[in-house]
Amino acid sequence: MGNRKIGQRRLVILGNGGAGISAISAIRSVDPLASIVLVSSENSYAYSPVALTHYIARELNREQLFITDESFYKSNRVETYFGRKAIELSPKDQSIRIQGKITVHYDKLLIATGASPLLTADYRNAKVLALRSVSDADMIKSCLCRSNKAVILGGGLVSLQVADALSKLGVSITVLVSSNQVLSRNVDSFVASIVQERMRGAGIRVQLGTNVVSVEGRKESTYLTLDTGQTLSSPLVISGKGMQPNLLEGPLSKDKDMSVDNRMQTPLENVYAAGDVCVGMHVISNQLGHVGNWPNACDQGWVAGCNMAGANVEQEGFLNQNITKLFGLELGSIGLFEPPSGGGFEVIKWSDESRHIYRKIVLKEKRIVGATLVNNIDGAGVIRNLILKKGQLSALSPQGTVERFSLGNPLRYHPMYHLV
Amino acid sequence: MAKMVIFDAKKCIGCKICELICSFSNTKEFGISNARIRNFIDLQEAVFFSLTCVQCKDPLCLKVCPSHALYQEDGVIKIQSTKCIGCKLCMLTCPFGNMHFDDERGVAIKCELCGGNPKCVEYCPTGALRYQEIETVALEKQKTLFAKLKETYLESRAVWETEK
Amino acid sequence: MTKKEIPTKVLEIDLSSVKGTINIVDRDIQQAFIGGFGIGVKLAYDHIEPRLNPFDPRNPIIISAGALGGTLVPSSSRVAAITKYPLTETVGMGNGSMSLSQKLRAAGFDHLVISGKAEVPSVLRIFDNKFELLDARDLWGKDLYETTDSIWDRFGNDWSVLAIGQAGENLVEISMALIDKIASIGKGGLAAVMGSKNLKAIIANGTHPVPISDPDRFLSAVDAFYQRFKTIPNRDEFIDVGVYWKWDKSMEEGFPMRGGNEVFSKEKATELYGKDVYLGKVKKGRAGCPSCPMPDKEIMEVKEGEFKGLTTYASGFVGRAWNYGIKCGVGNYDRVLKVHDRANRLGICSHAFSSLYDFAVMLFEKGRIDLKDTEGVKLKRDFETTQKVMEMTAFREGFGDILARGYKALFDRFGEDLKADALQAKGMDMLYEPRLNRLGAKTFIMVVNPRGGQHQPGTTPADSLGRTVDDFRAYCKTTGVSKDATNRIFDGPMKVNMARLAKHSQEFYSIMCSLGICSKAPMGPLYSLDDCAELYSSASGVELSPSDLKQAGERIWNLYKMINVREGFGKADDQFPHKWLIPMKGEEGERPLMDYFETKHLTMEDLQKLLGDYYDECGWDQETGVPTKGKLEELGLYEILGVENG
Repeated sequence: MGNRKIGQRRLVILGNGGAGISAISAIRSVDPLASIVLVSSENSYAYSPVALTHYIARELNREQLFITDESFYKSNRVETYFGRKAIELSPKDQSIRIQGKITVHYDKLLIATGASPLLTADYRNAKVLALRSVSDADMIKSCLCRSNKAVILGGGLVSLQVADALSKLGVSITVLVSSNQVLSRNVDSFVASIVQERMRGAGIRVQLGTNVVSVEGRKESTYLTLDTGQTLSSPLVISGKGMQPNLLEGPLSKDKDMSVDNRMQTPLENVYAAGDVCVGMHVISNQLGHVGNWPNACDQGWVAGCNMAGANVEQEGFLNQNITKLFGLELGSIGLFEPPSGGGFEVIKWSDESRHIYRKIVLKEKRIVGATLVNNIDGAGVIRNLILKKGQLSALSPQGTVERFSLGNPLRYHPMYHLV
Repeated sequence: MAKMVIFDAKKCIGCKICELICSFSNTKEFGISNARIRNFIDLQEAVFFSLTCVQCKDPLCLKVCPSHALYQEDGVIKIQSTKCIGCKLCMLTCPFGNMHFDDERGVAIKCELCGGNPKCVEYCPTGALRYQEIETVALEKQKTLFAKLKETYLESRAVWETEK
Repeated sequence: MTKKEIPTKVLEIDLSSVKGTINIVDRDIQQAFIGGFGIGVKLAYDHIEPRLNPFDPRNPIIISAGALGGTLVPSSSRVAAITKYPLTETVGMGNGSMSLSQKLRAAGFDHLVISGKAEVPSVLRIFDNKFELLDARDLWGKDLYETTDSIWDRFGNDWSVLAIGQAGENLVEISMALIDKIASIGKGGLAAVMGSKNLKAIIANGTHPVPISDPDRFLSAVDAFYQRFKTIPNRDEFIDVGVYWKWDKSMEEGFPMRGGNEVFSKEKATELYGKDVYLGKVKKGRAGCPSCPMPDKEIMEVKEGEFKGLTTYASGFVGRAWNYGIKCGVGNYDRVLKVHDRANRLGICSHAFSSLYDFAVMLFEKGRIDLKDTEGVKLKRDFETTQKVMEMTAFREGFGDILARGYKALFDRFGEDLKADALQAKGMDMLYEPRLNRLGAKTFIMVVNPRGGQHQPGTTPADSLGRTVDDFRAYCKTTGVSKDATNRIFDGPMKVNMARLAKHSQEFYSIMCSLGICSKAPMGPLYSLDDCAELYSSASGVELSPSDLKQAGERIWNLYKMINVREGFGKADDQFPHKWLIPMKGEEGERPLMDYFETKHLTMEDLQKLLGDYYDECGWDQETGVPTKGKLEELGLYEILGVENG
């Protein structure tokens, strides 16, 4: 059981995504001798979903997507099981049953199986596609060979990134959004309106407040019926309506069970989780939830790996953070984009309309709790770090007042002032 | 112990020569947006300082790059531009804001110490920039540098610290 | 091998219609006028209609970044502002520094030609190939520092800001603008011209890199210069204390006071405003312009007393001490800083105001003007009165309205005979005193400078006392003075003919201002003509040999002169102050007007002869003081301007 010596520990990682491969590097940085086993449902080397839209937009070829190769697993001495899904977790005998009737034993386990697009059987049968994996991207690309038209469901980041990629290819696009703005989970209505304007300017049809009532696949197209009564059809329909975690059968089979502490430990002894699959404490809202993004996955995988290998590393907490270019607009969004109701919050805005720049910082009792940056991402990393470290704004400006805080001047929030 | 470019706030005069030579060495043109070192000025407080990559021993940027374009060689963090997809996650991650972007080429750029002979240090007219070793490890490296900066800053500007 | 030639871009803006046009300067013009000041002069020739009222919307403001602006060339941040200046009614070039040149080029432009008048108070914003006229009604009425801070808070402090204070808004003719709160530009009323255009500030920023035609050759030239630069002794001291590193030398010359009649006590000067005071009570920090390794700007803070905490800026504390402490008698360093701070905020030129005030007090003391003339203000050299009169000047109230319009207004109001007692040229105060500094090129040129009483075109080794003839020979060599000219300069009992030398220094100054390189010591004197030619050719891709460059310098200065001839200026305006002939009273005896090497006391006859020498050296007419047709032909001006020889 746990009686093996440190150097002979058997550390098993489920998932070859950002969390998984970060964990491998972390483990090796702590313990060169532990044995590492990697199980991945995908039969490919590791890649980041961040790169997939670049691949779709033909900015990258397929080979360029992969960030590991054979030598990565070899030099890190990882025993690999590719193309095998992990099915059931048996904590009593510290084992995992994987596809192919194989049982893998662990001393420490990392569940980093990620998440999959939320797509019901109806939608799948109606040939609606999603974008998460490289094979998803391959599917979309092959559809594009036959069609120059697409309908995208959802106004979230993934949907808009796909729309952006397709618009670069000259595809005629319609985006259907349930809520009354795009990016309803990332930006406020003002920024959303800027994005919407850009989209429309690029010839994309954006329909807000619209839901799909039913879908049907006929011949080579998908037919959609909307709550407005309209019907749309398109040979290519892509849905970006959220993810669901890839859970294992066993004691952690429910979403809420997969919660981790700041050492990435689940409620089960010797079992860790990292990445999109798990639920953790949001560093700002102090609420438990999924915060699935690549930086979080890498960070969490690293922390999990270190701890599995015997080090003692803590993570600051989960944080929503994105930086993306959409329709020529540079958009960075970290933490809270709108203060919740209730007191104690303050919002500082700065804009330069002629240069299409907009920056918004949300503060709570002089701490930065969120930032939205449009077309000027100066100091994005500084702000992000301050959010994570719960940096005090009063320490930032020599004048000590929030009113004199000028967002145009990076000096004012430079880490030099927020220190040690 | 790797050498790094360190900064003496008492000596900086805000002449921007570091930015100018950095930009020129890398692009043969003078454009601050192409400089891997940035100079900041607060005229009122008479504080000037330059900041460039502190070559973290445990770099956050490297860990987050989705195309593994960032790598570490002899303690220096470098970018393989051909792999960079221009996602800017490294810029979102660097806690000091020391990652920059070449808009023309669409790739991230950062200080790579000019192959061991940093030009900003060579051209700095006052010796505010020096290239030397610092005896700390991991993230402590950054903290020490900034603790030094803060100390220097506060030393020379003791007045405002006591005024609320 | 075809070299890449870097184009020079001009943005012409009409504030009335808010329309702009972008033009590229013809290669021929670039080759003839280099860049910066030179091309600015050409633009002035094209755009400034003769005999305009300076406040006429048609009077353009031409902002010119040096050809080497925004590059690594040490001390290359100079920017020119050419317009018809109200104080002197000459078409002059004001010169400033800090970040405007760099930022203008980063925005993609080398020159701005701003004419017309904005409908409402506005800020002209230049960035990335575009311009914008912003409503600045909320800034109108704010002082210069507040305006700049406001703009920095609004857009970020990486924007270069050229702003005016209330004095400019009120069309005060002794007003000036400040770039980035520190670098003054346009004494003689640039700010007033801006005020007449409803232009509160000009701001610039951008992301365009400044390209270099031949980067390797360019860097070699820069590095070669740097090697020479590193041999300046005691550089650390200059970086630390600025001009105080030669305090003893300044004391040798002394500070004029009491309307230029007396010399201030050296002991008192050191006690009140010397290095100890500066280091202990004034210095907060030093600042420099982009690309300059020898910062000469001061960030000053009053350390104790009534004005504790006051932070202000200047090109040097010594100059302020002289202006307000010695000439206006305001008192200790803290009061000096308080008054200077207010002058900067109002946007009034400290040199001009203090000279005029000192002069007015002298007249008052002599009884030449009385309480009726000053509308009840007892003119005194003290803190309260100086401040009071400064406010009156900035807001054109009572007696201040006369001072606001300078010497000419005083002469106009109280009599032309006052000229005999004044130290001015073409209506502008003279910064240097030849009875103390000796008659070198710097002091001589204040008389003949087309702009007015400004000394910079006369920068030579004579700027400091105690130089040898060899120093001047070396200067002639590095600035490319021909053998024949050299012979003429070193001929005669005064050892160095400063008037003839002035012709060559003004040309070199033209070149330096066209390149945007600072002429001020210690950097300026390090540059040679060869340096300039090499740097310019490798940067721009337009190959100019040292002799081409020197001729271009002459061409530029002659066109500058001709524009002013067109305005009606001639020999009659090149007048030596009569006061120079009256010895000053000093602690160690009298200080009469002498030549640099002190071979003789100079008489008016000597001065007139020197003037003749100057015209002769320039190739200008002795009777009229105007460039001859032959000279203009020689310089190819007729051909280049496409003008008939006539």
